[in-house]
Parts: sequence; structure tokens; C-alpha cells
Amino acid sequence: MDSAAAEARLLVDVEGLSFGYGRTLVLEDVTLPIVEGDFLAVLGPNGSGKTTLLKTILGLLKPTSGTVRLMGEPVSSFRSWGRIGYVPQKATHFDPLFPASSREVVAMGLLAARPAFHRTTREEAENIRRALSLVGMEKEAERPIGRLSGGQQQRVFIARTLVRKPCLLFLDEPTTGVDAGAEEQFYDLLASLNVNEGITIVLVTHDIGIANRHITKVACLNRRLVYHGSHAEFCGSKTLQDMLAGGHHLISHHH
Amino acid sequence: MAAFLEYAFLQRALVVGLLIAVACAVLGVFLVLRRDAMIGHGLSHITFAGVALGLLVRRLPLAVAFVFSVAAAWALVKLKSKAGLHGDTALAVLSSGGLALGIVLASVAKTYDAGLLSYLFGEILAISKGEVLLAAALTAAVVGIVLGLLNKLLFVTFDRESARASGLAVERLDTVLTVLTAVTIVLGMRVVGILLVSALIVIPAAAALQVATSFRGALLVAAAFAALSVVAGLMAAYALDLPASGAIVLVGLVLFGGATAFRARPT
Repeated sequence: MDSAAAEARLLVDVEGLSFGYGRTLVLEDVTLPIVEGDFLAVLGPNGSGKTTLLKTILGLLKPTSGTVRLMGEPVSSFRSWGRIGYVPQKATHFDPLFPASSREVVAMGLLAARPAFHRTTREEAENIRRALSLVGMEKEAERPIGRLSGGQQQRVFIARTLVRKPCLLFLDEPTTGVDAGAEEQFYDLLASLNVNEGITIVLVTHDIGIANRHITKVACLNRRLVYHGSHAEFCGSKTLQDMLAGGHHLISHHH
Repeated sequence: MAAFLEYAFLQRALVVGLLIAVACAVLGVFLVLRRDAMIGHGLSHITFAGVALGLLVRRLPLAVAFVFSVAAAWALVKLKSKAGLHGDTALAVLSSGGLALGIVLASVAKTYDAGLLSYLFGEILAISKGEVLLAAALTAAVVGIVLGLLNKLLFVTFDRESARASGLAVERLDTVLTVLTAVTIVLGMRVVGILLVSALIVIPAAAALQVATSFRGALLVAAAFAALSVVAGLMAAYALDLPASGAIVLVGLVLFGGATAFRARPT
């Protein structure tokens, strides 16, 4: 019974995962369980396969070998995409003149599951409002997305995933283009979603300068998984020392 | 203005022009934002081959153009997704191929005459009753499908990767948009001709995007600019004895200039 309960809490199960372009392996034999409630940071230098791992978990790339299960279901037959939020690395790389208000961007999150000609219901409108208020962007609802700061845009993109009430949220380098002052508040927001809303968070980054106050687990990736464990142990581990000695800018990174 | 109430051919021109211009403008907003602005230009060149073949076999040039245009739209999506060509390369290959085929077919058919020219430059004042019905039905279909899929098309246009990750059938939506464009182009060809049809798609949309602050706003403004271009263009053409296609597009350009100046104004 205990094992069944433990299994139910396993949201993502990556086993023996490899991915390559031609003969060059970008990921090699990665095994990584993600458990409900984790605030996991996937760390690694540029080109270490972090984004590839994320895209493979999300079914956007097909692994060369190994398996990915989402909430117990193989990723190829997984359909409950509403339970999973994803903010891609290039989310903020849209045309700054794109005519969409913050509210319209958040509303996009509702759509995938809706039939054609669906009109927004009062309940959905309330969900949009609540998602915007959770990320502190309620007042900017009618402003065009392109006129917000990088940090504000990231908040709107997170709100877009929140309208579908996800239990798991993936963020790929979310602080790119967010200024240092706003970065800390941004991580505070993620921590509050993790603790107060019970959302499991997986954050891909090459920079843990500020995130490390909040994260509970760390996975270090350099083609292979070189470390996976609690954040506290990671700080005293040889992996961190090696990475620092190797010149990987894992702690503080100046752009 | 009185002439528009009096002459049936002017009324038909106005109705068909308004319908098609609105359909083009609505599609144009998506295409311009997707950086697919030249798709209308490319597909229109392929419809030229269709028209030439239709004239050669003396069977419904418009219907043959439909088949060519839709087939090319489908091939375009496949060339991009399967052959990995960049959009502009795939478009250049298909459009120059279409033009070359059209030139050869027109020469074989010895149809370098008024018939062919009317397709190149448009013939909005010679539109038949049947074409009015066809335009109304197809415009209703195009606008209906776009409005029905509005939110999904918006998501794919804004953030392809997130749209894919949230379970949307991104490639299928691409195909829908491209095929609708192909259909609309054949209709637009009757209004302003093969050489100018892409203006109906791009100019009102580009003008609207200069001033809109929401997506729904952009669609409405683009449709309004398109309608205004057709009305003012037709009136100018009739009053000053100008070619209607050129007048419609030039009015659109004036609106685009105004919108751009409005955006650039000191605030």
C-alpha cells in the first residue's frame, strides 16, 4: 500500500533516457524521478542538454532510447496536458509589437481543451483574473504584452499556465531578460506557488545565484546526470566543487 | 455615390470587393504576425499557372486556379515541415515554378490577350451574379473558420512551442491557415488581379498592427481598413476613370501611411 502511495506521488519518471542528433548524444542514460512538491533546479552549463531534457519530458522530442512517464502514463499516450504548465526559454522572444493584451495571452492557456466557437464563460473569466492576481499582474490585464518588462512578461506566461490549474510547472531559463531587482521577487513568486498552491516546479537554469534560497532539490546535468539529490547536500557536495573548479558559471553569472 | 445605387455592376463590385477584402484582411493579421506576409504573393503566382491551364483547356479557369492554389498551399506546408526548407525558400521555389509553368501554358494556348490580362490585373467591374454568390459563400466559410479557431490560431501564432506543449495540433492549424489563404487568393484575384492580390492580404493587416493594442482590436481595424480601401478605391476609380485594382491598393497604402504616422507621433 505504501509503495502504491509513493508511486502516485511520482509525477515524472525519466528512465535511462538518451537523446541524440545523428550519432552525437546530447543526453546519455539520464534517470530522474520528479516527485510531487519538488522545487527542482536542473543545473548545467550551456549545451549540457537541459532544454533537450525538458523537451523530451514534454514529448516535443522523441528520445533515442529510454522512457518518460508522466503521472504514470507513457508520454506518447499522455493527454492531460492541462495538468502541466511550460514556459519555454524563448517565451519572451515574441514580436514586441504583437497586439495581445496580458489578458488575451493568459486566455490562450484555456484554449487547447476548448471546442471551436467556444465563448469565454464567467468561470473562465474569473480563472483568468485569479491567475493574473496570483502572479501580481492583475492591474496590467489590459496592457499590451510587448509593453511590459521582461519580468512582468514572464509572470504573464506563468499565469497562462496557471489558468489550467496545473500540478506541475516547467520553466526554461525564466530569468533571462529579467533585471536583477525583479529576479528575487520572481523566485519568491515561484516559491509561493510551490508552497501555497502545491505546484511542483522544475526550473532549468545555468545560474542558481538567487534561486538557491527556495529550491529543495538539484539535478546537475552535463550530458549525463552527474548529481541528483537534496539542495542541502548539493551545497556541500563534491559535484558543486568540481563544477566551480571547472569554471562552470553555476553560482553567479554576469551577462 | 448615386452611380453605386444605379448600376448593378457597381453594386456587385462593391459587395464582392468588401467581402473578399475583409476575408483577406482577417487572414492577413495572422500571416503578417507569423512573418508569412509573402505567402499571398507566392500562392498568387501559382494560381497564374492554374488560370493559364484553364484557358488552355477552355474549362473554368477559376476552378483550375483553385485546385492549383490549394495544392500549392498543401505542398508549401509539407516542404517546410518534411523537407526542412525555410518558409521563404519553399515559397520562392513554388512561386517561380508556378510562374514559369503559367508562361509556358499561356504561350501554348496563345492566350496572351485580354482574357489573361483580366486575371493579372483584376476585373472587379465585370463580376457576374454567380461570382457574387461564390464570393459570399467562400468569405463566410473563411471568416467562420477563422473565428471558430480564433483562440487556437492566436496561440499558435504567438507562441508555437507553448501551443504545441499544451496539446494543440500545430501542423494541422498551419495547414488550415494556408489552405484558407489559398482559397481567398483565388477570390482576391478577381478583385485586384494576381499581381496585386497579396496587397489585400498584407496592407490592411500591416496598417492595423501599427495601431492595435489587442488582438481582437487588430482584426476589427484590419477589416475596417480593408472595407474603406475598397469603397474609396472603387469610388475614385469610377469618378476619375482609373483602374479599380490599382485605386483600391493605393487607398490601402494611404491608410497604411496614416497608421504608421499615427504610431510614430510624439506622445
